[in-house]
Amino acid sequence: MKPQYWLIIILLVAGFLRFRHLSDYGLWVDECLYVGYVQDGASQEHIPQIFGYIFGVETDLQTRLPFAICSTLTVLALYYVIPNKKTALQICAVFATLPLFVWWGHLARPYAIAGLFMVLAWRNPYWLIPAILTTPISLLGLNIYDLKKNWKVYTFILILTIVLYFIRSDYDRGHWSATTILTATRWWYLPILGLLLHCAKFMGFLTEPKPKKNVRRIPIVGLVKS
Amino acid sequence: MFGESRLSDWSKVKVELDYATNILPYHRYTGRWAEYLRREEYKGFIDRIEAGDTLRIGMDYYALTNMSRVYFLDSKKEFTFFQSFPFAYYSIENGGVEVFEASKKGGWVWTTSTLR
Repeated sequence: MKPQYWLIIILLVAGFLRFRHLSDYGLWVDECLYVGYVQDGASQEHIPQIFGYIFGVETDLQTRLPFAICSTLTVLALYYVIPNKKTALQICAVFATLPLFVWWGHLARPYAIAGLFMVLAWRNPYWLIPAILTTPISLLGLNIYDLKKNWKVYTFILILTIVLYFIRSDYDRGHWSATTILTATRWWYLPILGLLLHCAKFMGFLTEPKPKKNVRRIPIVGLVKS
Repeated sequence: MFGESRLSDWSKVKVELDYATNILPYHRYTGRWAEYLRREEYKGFIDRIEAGDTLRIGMDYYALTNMSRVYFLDSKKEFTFFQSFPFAYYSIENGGVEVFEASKKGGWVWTTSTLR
């Protein structure tokens, strides 16, 4: 079967898993905080706030819809950024079905939106800017292979992160502790997604045929049989 | 339910609460505010009970966590409390929200079944 057909199947599975229970349960306490950010404004989750203005936050379905869409679109983004399409399909299938991504991909928390931008940043580092404007945890999914090549962009992004989340005093960092980071599953969405991309890169190294060496043809003049 | 996130159905609570274990969802679905039933608000809650008030309390899954089970610090007492309301416990653990009334004389009374 063609890879595109597999991609459509994976996309449908990802969409089904993320959309089927979208409004079955009421909002979680942190989702209610997000609704507050959209209604009153806040100096965090900037991009999700914009989605909140566009889609609205009146009903649970409206509130969660942009996040489920972004999480589903991340499957397409993964397929787009991973050069080896066989590897890409395997990674897409893992992302589509792993409970960590299904669960946090359908709640109104910033990880699904940041994840989409973070994956796209593996193709173009400028996508990391909206990812950072969504949540600083996006930095944990950096394309480390690209750091040297695009160091100017990454330096700018690092400064942007420091200004947005560490210099501005009204950003709530009270819940950032080693225990919460290690025990809270929501904090793992972006690092594990980054890990998948690193795995894809590594698997690509293994499966892609090695490029032929560019052998310079040297004219041999006067080759004499011994 | 996954990891630290527990979704509870606050939209089914129709009555006005004095205290809730999760006031943000309560406010979202009812438009009303209540006091937090948490460790920090322990003194205010006890003071009102001692003063003779009958307080209506909404409990979701957080009632079973360290954050809000301050009123049952003694694990034996906590066990007895939930043993008295096994259906409420079952409901809370499975995403329900249960309403109790607490007073000095009457103790804790599970009221959700009658007030819904």
